[in-house]
Amino acid sequence: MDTRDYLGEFELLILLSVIHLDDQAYGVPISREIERHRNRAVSVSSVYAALDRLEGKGLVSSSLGDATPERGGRAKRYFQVTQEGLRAVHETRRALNSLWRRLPALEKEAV
Amino acid sequence: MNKRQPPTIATWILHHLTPGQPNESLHGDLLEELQNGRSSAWYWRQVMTALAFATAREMRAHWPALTFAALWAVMARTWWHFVFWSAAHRVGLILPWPYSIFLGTAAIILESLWAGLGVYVWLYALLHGDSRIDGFARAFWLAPSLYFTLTIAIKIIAHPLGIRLSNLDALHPVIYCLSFATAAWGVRVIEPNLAAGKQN
Repeated sequence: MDTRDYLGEFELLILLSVIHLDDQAYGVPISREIERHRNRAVSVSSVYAALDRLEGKGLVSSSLGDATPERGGRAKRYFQVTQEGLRAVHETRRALNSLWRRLPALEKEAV
Repeated sequence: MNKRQPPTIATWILHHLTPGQPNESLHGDLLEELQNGRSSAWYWRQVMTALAFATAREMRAHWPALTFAALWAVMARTWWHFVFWSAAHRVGLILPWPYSIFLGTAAIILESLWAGLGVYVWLYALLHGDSRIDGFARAFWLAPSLYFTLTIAIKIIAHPLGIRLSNLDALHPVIYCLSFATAAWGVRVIEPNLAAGKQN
């Protein structure tokens, strides 16, 4: 992966959630999506902290949506995965798959 | 539909005590979740987590100010104990109470806080190769204000708890670092477009 950093577990979960949610990817659905798959609570601010980090690395971009009354007139911040982000996800999957394939016994025991 | 109101104090903390730029989208998300049935306890937890994350982020972003504050606190304290007091004793500068408080206060402001901030701002401008510094004046009144507010607050809290004031001496470098670093965090090089805006 050249000199780029590998994605952390939480960063990978967020990127996958953003890809899955498509044009509905903002703080609340992203944290709900991660909670659903991890079976434990995720704070919205930790999601934002990770998204800010990913945006700093150029892996996601964000844009502001419309303000709604139920949000006290505050706009939603929608996130999209960039080409660089997609490349990072594929690269991480390739590295993980390659490692998992070398551990067939562990894969059976973990079920 | 009845709108659920978020806990007032938690909202105030989110707005006023969370360091850095206010995250309006996060605030909107928390309100949205509250309307969707989340509890006040959940809202409080989210606010406290946001506060912790923002503080950690600001500390990482401003590590030079924090490091300088810690180093200067050690140097100022050493100078205060081993140079200032011995010199003051030699020339008979030790005043009786309550006048000694004025001398001590002036010494803390001039020698510890303002001299430290002066050196910090000078180094900051030198490293950035730019003398257009913003936040300089604010830092000079903010540092002593924070220092004395925190010192008095701790003494007010400690007194009913029966904690001896001499036992609080160890907290002074921590209070100093917090005050200095908070004031120094606001010191920035003025961006060219902002500088042009200020001139207009």
